Amino acid sequence: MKKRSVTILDPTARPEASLHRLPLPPRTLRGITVAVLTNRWQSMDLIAERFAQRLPVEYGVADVLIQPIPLAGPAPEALLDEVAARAQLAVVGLAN
Amino acid sequence: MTAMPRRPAETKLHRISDDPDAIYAYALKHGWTDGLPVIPPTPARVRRMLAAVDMKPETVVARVDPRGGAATVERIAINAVMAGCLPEYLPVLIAAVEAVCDPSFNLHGIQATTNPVSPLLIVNGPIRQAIGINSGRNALGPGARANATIGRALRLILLNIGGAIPGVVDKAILGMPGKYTFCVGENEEESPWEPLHLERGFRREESTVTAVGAQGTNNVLCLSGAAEATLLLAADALATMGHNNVLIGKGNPVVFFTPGHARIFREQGFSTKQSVKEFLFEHSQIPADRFPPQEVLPTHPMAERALRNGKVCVARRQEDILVVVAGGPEPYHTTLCPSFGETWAVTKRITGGSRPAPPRPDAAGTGPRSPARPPQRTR
Repeated sequence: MKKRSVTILDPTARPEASLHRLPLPPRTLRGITVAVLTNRWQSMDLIAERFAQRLPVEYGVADVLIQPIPLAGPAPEALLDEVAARAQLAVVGLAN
Repeated sequence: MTAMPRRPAETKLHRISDDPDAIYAYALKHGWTDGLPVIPPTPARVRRMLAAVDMKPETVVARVDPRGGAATVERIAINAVMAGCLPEYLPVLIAAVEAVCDPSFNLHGIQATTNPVSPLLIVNGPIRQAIGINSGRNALGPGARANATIGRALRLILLNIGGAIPGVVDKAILGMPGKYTFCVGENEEESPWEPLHLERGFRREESTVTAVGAQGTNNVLCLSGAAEATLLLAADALATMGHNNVLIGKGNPVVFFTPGHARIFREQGFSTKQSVKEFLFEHSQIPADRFPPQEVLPTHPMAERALRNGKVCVARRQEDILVVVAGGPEPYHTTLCPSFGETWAVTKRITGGSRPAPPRPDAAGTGPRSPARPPQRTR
């Protein structure tokens, strides 16, 4: 018996293009400011603390800026602009 | 004859076996489904769905977080077909997408959280009866195609356009059944009070959908026939230390009262929804010293909660408690849904449905058929 087929439309959407427009990371960590954005869950606070301790010692990072972000929602644009102005690299932490 | 809208060229097509088992397996393999079988979104079905609204298929209704995918009218229609919607449901679904993508709803957080939260859709206005949304007996349960499939279609949109892949992006630890479908109408006809959409600034003759970032249903049984006793039990159930809206001090907890309970309240002095909210707000406050000494949510310490005279409130203001009349007539059961907390309810007017639905040779709905008149447009 001949198999029959049907054409269907794809229900999915691609990710928003701007989400993939990330700048190239710096070539070295030495001498730069690294921002750590933490949503303040206990484990992320610990991780942020470790970054602040070890990045300057082990990688020559000039400064680590720990910046709290909302617990369960996107960070405000103004906050992201401020971080972009002050740091050359950012780590976003959402640890639970 | 109604002109069929054109399909945007960018939509990918898949050619697959027409065997129902194969279609189900294909949808599962591609992660397109909530785990249940889907109706294949053929071009003909999608065209019929689109013909129910006066909007271009490529129009972007919203970007759905966290993926930021474009919820075009066509993609909404594709997911509506898959969920089993009738074309006349599409205007409700479009308004629901607008509501959940409003920034104050915080869809990003709701999609990705470990919390068991889902958008709860509450439909008001004439469209409920026009398309058969159940607001009576078993309103939050199975049986009505409109409730079941509109809620499910929104879930598929959150998955396929918003990218809430369970276990990957959707990090819910337990989840809850309302994440399959969660849609109800307010029983305005049997309510002694003004309906939800009037409270939120719309006209009675308008149709709206209100999205609430809600957790699962929690039942309270009260057969006393006494208004204050019933409200005390509901307030007691609201007063739960571990509910997000209590710990965070924000959000809109929802309380569903049946027409029977609402009638009793009205007869015994609670003449407005506001008076009921006031009672619930006052009697659901938890003494701050009852909370464990360890901060149960360190990100939101006691000082940041909705505090009032040494007590923690279940909402920031009494108006933030949503009281909705739904269900069968008996004054027996009350149901409440706690809030995710980091979210505010959003109400959107239902629009876009200016065209009558075209014939549906393959539709086999159990609910009411074409609306007696088309859904309303916005002002």
